[in-house]
Amino acid sequence: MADDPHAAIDRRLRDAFEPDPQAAARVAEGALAGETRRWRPAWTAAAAVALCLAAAVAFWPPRPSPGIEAPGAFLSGSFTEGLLVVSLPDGSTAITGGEARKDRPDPGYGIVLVEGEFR
Amino acid sequence: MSGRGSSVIVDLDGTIAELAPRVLRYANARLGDPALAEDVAQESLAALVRACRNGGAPESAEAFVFAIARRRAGRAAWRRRLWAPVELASGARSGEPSPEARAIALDESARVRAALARLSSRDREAILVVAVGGLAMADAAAALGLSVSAVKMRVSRARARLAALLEERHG
Repeated sequence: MADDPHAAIDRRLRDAFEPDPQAAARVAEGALAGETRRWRPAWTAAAAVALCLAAAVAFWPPRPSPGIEAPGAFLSGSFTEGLLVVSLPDGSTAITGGEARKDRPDPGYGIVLVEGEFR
Repeated sequence: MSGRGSSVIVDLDGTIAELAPRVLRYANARLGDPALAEDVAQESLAALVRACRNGGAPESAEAFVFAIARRRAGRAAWRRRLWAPVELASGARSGEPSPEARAIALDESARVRAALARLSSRDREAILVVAVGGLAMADAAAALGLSVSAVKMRVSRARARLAALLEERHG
């Protein structure tokens, strides 16, 4: 072993990580006694994560964005000659469309889903 | 190498006492955390004790224990990486060495750990099992699931690279 050119590097590695003899004795004793080592840190960490989640749910309830609110009004409109005419809550009338599209309902009254920004 | 080589276990207490510092040293080198290393070493040795008491003694106690220690150390390292921020926040990592003990050990072991970290994981694992764990080549091959020649090649490459890295850091 003494002639091994790599003995020095091996010894250096062993010395760098030499365990405490008492720790080794403790480990041997525990293994022979069939003891399972504690994994408390993992349980503690799991409990901490659960706590954080609970706190997040309790203190950060979902709230509506301040800039967007439902109009709180019932819009009604009609299709006439391919134009959508909608009376808005402020008293004005919005007219949109103009191009003939096959998916538009026939002129008359019905339920229309309107997508867009309400101002 | 201080390994006993492949043999059927006749003295379980003696085998455990002889393996404990070696597997603990290996786990220390892998994890750099004495408390975690103790957990890994004890679990690995307890598995050998259970196997022997259940009549399933492995042909090589060393290969058996180190194969388990290797897997457990890998899992422990992952778990530590995942939980580290939470454990730090909750103060759960109280088993760490004192600042004085850490300062004394830091210099050499930190230097060696830094050099080990620059090896490829395959070479690092091979040299840790052979040089730090003290396994014979045949047992190391069994523990790592490789051929003896592959282990020899990896260990040789790791030793040369490590020597150069440590020399470089000294200079």
